[in-house]
Amino acid sequence: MSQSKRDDRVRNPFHDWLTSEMIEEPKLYRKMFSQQILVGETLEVFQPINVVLLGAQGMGKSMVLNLLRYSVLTEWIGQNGRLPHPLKNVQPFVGISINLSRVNFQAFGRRSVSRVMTGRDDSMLDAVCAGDFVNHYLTRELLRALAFLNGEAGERFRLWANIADGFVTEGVVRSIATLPSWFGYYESCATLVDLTTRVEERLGAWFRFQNTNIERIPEDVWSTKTNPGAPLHELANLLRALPVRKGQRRELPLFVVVDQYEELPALNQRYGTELQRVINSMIKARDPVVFFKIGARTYDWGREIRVSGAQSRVEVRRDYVPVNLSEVLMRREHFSIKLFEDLAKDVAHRRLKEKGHYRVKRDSVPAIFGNWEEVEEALRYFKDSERYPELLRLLPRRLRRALLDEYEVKSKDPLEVRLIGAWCLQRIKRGERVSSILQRLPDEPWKSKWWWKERVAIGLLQLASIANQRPYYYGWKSLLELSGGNIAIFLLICSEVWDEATKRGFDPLAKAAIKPLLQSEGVRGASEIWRTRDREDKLGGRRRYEVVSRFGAFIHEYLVRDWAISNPGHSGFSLSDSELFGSAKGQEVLEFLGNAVSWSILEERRHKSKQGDGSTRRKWYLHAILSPSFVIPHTRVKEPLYVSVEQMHEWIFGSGGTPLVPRRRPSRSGNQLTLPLGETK
Amino acid sequence: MRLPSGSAETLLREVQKEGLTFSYLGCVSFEDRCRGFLERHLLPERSAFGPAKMITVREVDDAFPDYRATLRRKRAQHSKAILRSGSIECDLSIDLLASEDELLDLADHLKATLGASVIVDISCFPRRVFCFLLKQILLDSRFENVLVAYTGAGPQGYASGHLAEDPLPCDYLPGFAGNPLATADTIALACGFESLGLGSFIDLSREGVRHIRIAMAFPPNGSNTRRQWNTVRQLVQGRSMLLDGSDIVALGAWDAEEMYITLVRWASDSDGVALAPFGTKPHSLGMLLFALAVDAPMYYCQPRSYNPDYTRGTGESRLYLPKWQGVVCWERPRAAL
Repeated sequence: MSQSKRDDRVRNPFHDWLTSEMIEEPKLYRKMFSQQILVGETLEVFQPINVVLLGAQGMGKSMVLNLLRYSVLTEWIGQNGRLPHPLKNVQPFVGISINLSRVNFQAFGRRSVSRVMTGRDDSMLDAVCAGDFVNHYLTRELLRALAFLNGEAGERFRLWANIADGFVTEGVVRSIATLPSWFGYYESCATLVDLTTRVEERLGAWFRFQNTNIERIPEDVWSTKTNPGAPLHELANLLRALPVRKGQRRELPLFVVVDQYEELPALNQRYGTELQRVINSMIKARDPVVFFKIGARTYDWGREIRVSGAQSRVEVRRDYVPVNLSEVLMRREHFSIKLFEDLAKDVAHRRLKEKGHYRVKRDSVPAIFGNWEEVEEALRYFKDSERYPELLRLLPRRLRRALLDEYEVKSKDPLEVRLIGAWCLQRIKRGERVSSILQRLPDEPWKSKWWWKERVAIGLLQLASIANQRPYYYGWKSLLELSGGNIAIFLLICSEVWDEATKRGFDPLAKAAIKPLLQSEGVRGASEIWRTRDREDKLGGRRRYEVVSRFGAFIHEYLVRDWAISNPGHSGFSLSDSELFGSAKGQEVLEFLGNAVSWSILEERRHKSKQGDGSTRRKWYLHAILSPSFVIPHTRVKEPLYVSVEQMHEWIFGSGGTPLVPRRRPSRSGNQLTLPLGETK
Repeated sequence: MRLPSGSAETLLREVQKEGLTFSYLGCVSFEDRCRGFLERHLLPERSAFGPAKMITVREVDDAFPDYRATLRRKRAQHSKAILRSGSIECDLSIDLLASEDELLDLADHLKATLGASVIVDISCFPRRVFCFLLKQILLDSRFENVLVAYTGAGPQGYASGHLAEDPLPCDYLPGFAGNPLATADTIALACGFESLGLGSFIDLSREGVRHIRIAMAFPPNGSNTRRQWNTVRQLVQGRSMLLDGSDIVALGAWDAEEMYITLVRWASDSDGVALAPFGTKPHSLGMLLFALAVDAPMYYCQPRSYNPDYTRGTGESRLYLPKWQGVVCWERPRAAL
């Protein structure tokens, strides 16, 4: 390999496809983050309301929430004190954050403060201690924010927020120090440094206690425990009263980004949900000047919505607004598809420019991967029409001969031949006579729009199988589909494809698109990485890996081995809401499936039942990126497999050896049977 | 820092010259080596030792794969064999995911019932249990002399499949949270056979981290080395900006002292070190001692499911001397002893 090609490999601009690292570096984040596209769809996050930002892993939640942090937002503010589109109309705010895992919030409850300090276990008292910790931690963050904003680095922010220079005066410090909520804890503090030192002493006391380094909480901490949220309210009111540059102060709310909320139950199995309730209490308070922004994986929010010490619950739309990134980016409507395409193009372009230092135009990014056409792919498997009889397998000899000799299928492309074969097989299965089938051939009924479209993906996989080749995955459009609306997966695919290309000495930015063979290898690599990563890294991943492996293999056998392609939609399965919510087994199944969706292993959509009963249902598919691992179609067509909760429960929690058999939809005449569990046909 | 270590036979002979009576604390496990030190060194010279206690660590109920039946059966066999000796107490138990309160209760009981000189056998203890107990014992002035025993796997070594699976999210080891407000720009990883949620650990620790430094276990042994490199490969997927080839060292798998010294060297040109003891138990011991010396955090992704064939057979036992005559090893100059 030449040096320059080696350099290309080393300079893989997509290599760091886990975007989390750039979140910590505001300048890098500014260069990489596609704010125009993603922020534009999540503007509620930047408004003074409590927001829960939902989305599967890798959808970009952290990227959006990170923009709220004062140190990051500052990078976006121009010299004129304005934010760029689409944030230009956002009202000023001060954003701070807490990563609950990183600050060891999960420690509370594992060593009971109440037991040591009062001689008896008192979970409410322990919750108060946890709330006190959060109050003071966020106070520390706010003090750091004030120090930053008061300095040279905060000039543009001050301009945007209409805060006067040198606003951290002795008066401001004393106002903070003497807030009633502190019960005198900061009374002696005269400077910002004093306050910061004092708050870190307090936090240190909590840490040392949780670490079993000290026996008791120091008396000055114990006797000044704060009420959840109260100090933040008072601090936020002080923000509003900061001296202005000119004119009148508009509002200056405090935004608090809360990260890793959903990990608390796993990290503290006994007390984790209690800790979540402490945070819920702060949301429920619907403080007029403090607003919480929580990022959570799709199904990790909503499991515990009670507040601390009471049964009342945080209510959607009343106490908070949910914003679901998965829905924004994965809807099938044209707008969403275009949205993700624009996001992907923008992100890829930034990576090429900033990390790889390549000069590429944004609109040229798709050309790196080229186009995909179904017939072109088909011809990669079957160039030689002499092999077409293989594509007409299982047909009666008479029909096969007629197709080859009289109907001259050899003049057609291999995909059409395969689909002709499938159509004929379907007719045969339904009892139609060969003569009748032959009569219908001139009308080319397999070309009806939906019949054809629903079977292309499987047809191509079957061609690959018959040709004894591995399927191809290439082209910009395919790459977007395989990403499933997930930007982390998109970057992973780009990274693996780039690596594969440069490994073989191919310049990814050459005029010609990267060869389909190389793209396919990269896509397969990405698929395996995503699948394995969940198994190794994520809670519950081991079981998911097992279940998904069985399910993927099942779909392959069921769909790709069905030469008649009778049920192209059966790459997914459907369950009714009433079954899911109506039983303990249903709840277990729902929890498993929800976790799989949260970790981007499955995709979920709601749909209407075709059973004529009006019931609401949900359907799940393996995430598109997993399709190459199991050689199954990644496009979603038609109706999924209708199954029962009993079947899915056995599949997930049992041995899974039972074939997943579809429930037959009752026909209009009501004569069809429902197949019992375990029976195959 | 000076951490003498050597074969159990040799070191025991030396310390017993002082006329001390050592208590013993171990873990009844599904692994054969849980009886290694007992059967080779303690039981043949029972009268030379004080109280001997074995703790059972109970598995979680909903791990996957679920090997509970096999694990319990094997543990029961070992427990039976241990009890047959008539002189070992096996009635203590604790959950794998015990809280700090529960661990403290256990530690308090041990402090009241073990003598001033104690051998802690870490061979089969999960890290979150032995690290906590060792911290309590080492920092308590009641314990003057502390030895740590470690028995390796037998000739058949480790299981070829996954040793442990189904990890919890990354968390600090109980008692080793460090100070979350302090910066740590370096992650020091003792590399093992499983990546076990390591990726999540790196992501969690991201803020301010500039380096990942890795200690691999020596000697290079075909499959062991391959498995460690596989762990490193999985770790760097998507995170290449943090790892430099010069940041990977090979240390003797048994060498806790060298682990400590390496950490001191890494810390000297870092702004704080966070520790990840995913490697051998002696390496974990070295990390533990460093963590106690400088109040560094230790993180781990606790697996919930253990392979019943984690190790097979019983290898040689080694002893380490982290505390002697009331002086902990990190306060002991290198020239002393």
